Amino acid sequence: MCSHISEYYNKYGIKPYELVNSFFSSSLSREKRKIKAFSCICHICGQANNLLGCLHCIYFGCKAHIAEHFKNKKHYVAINLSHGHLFCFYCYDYVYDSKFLKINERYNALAAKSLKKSVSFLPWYPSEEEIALLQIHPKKFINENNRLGLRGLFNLGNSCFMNCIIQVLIHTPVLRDFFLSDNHNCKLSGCMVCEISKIFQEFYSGKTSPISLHDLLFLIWKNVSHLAGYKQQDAHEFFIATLNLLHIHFRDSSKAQHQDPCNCIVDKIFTGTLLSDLVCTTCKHVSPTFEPFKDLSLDLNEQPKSLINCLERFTRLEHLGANAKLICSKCNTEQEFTKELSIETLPIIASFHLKRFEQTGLNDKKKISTFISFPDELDLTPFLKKSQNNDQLMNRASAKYSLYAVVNHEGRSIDSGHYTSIVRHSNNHWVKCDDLNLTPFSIEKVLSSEGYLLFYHKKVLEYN
Amino acid sequence: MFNKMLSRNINDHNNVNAKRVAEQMTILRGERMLLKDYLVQSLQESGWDDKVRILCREEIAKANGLISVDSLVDRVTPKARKEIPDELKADMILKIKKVLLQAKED
Repeated sequence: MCSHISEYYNKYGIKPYELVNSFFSSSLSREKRKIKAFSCICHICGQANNLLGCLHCIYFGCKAHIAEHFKNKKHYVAINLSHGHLFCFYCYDYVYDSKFLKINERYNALAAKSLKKSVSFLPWYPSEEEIALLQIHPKKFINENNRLGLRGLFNLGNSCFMNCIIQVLIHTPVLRDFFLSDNHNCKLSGCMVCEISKIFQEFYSGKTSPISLHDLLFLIWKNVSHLAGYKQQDAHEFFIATLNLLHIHFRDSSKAQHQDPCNCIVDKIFTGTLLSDLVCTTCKHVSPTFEPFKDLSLDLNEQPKSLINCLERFTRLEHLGANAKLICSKCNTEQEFTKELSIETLPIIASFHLKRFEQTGLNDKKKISTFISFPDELDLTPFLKKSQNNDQLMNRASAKYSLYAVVNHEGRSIDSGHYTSIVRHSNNHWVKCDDLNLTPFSIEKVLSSEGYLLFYHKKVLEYN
Repeated sequence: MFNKMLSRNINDHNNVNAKRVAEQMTILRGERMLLKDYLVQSLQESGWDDKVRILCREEIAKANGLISVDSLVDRVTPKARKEIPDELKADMILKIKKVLLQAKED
């Protein structure tokens, strides 16, 4: 550990660092950026790359010249102007001190705010307390060699529709991080969020015996009447009902005013927005409507071959036809319209529902078992709203996703089949969850399974 | 003054002057941070940072953990540069040019 930095801190405090960082490293405002642009050059040779700023006097130098400066003046602490870290000339290396790191982090966030952009990636510096905690719990890592987070679920009489979805939720990384970091404490009775929170604790307790989800099932029965009873239910309906119930109970339990759009974890993770453009065929007037979605249900009627195929059909231009005339707000008369869907904002979790059950009669549903291929890495860029200008040049909300769970329906009809799910346990390690039975699966087998519900996780998350 | 410098140097990637102007212009307009974020994200997506992390670990192990950040950077940089995808380099040049052309218009 470097003792010179504490010595420097005791003598000069943190002010010089704050000042130099706020102007020349993070650059917190337009004026400061201007000063930085014109004055950041080596005072000896004039070059501008990889500069260090002396924290004892006003002096910027390239690596060689700041070292010379230290020799002459014995000014031993400098700040690297490109990332704001401290350099100690006695140790001849960068040093990391929590007091200075905190300021650097805060200034980076402020600079991002001034540029109206999301905060740049920063590595995590654990505090001493956190390091101590990690050392007490060395075994709590998820990897191929352990079963942490993997537990079977009892079938409580056709309850596989629930089990398969719970396995998916448990293995949703962002949801897991939320629940395991103790973010919900409401103590209201019959709260769905508390129930899911309890199930997460059970899954990651380190035990491996199967769990019975009777409390959850009872809660669902009480709140969602059409899912009550011992009959087989649709896993997709259960998924949507669960998200809705979580959303409602979040709202009920939080003291904060309800916001629109809702900022509960369910909406933060699963909700995206669709843009539907209705275009009048006569005057080309566009009326856009925005619609939130938690999953996309995709038609299988026209024999698509792949998920991409389905999405292309979902977003293609559609003529509504002469029988579906609408009043155009510009022409003020009935006109024919075209309709085109695109994705306006992407959710963190993109889930797709392949409509394998087709209503054929009043109480009759036929299952479509055709093979639909789906990728393990999905890029949704082609389905995003086509931006008219190029301002989004750098603001690319990355649209790349990775598959992390698949729900399959085995059997020939909706009333008689059986649901299973395959989840990604760790990097390249997949596990099929069939009620009590957990079996390792290869990615090839995952991708060749039939697929009913597909769950993709965004690869890059933005900081806000 | 800037405009003149810009029009003279915009297509000359190797000119030191051009580099300096590009640097100043992007800092001034705030786009430098956006470009930086974009670059970091693209490198992460291409798997570059994982490769470089492995290279760093190897060098640190070779030096038995006793190596300064600067000498680590010196040793890893040539290899790390080679790993940057060519398309990304072309993409970055294009983006920087766009920013500079926009600056000229403003």
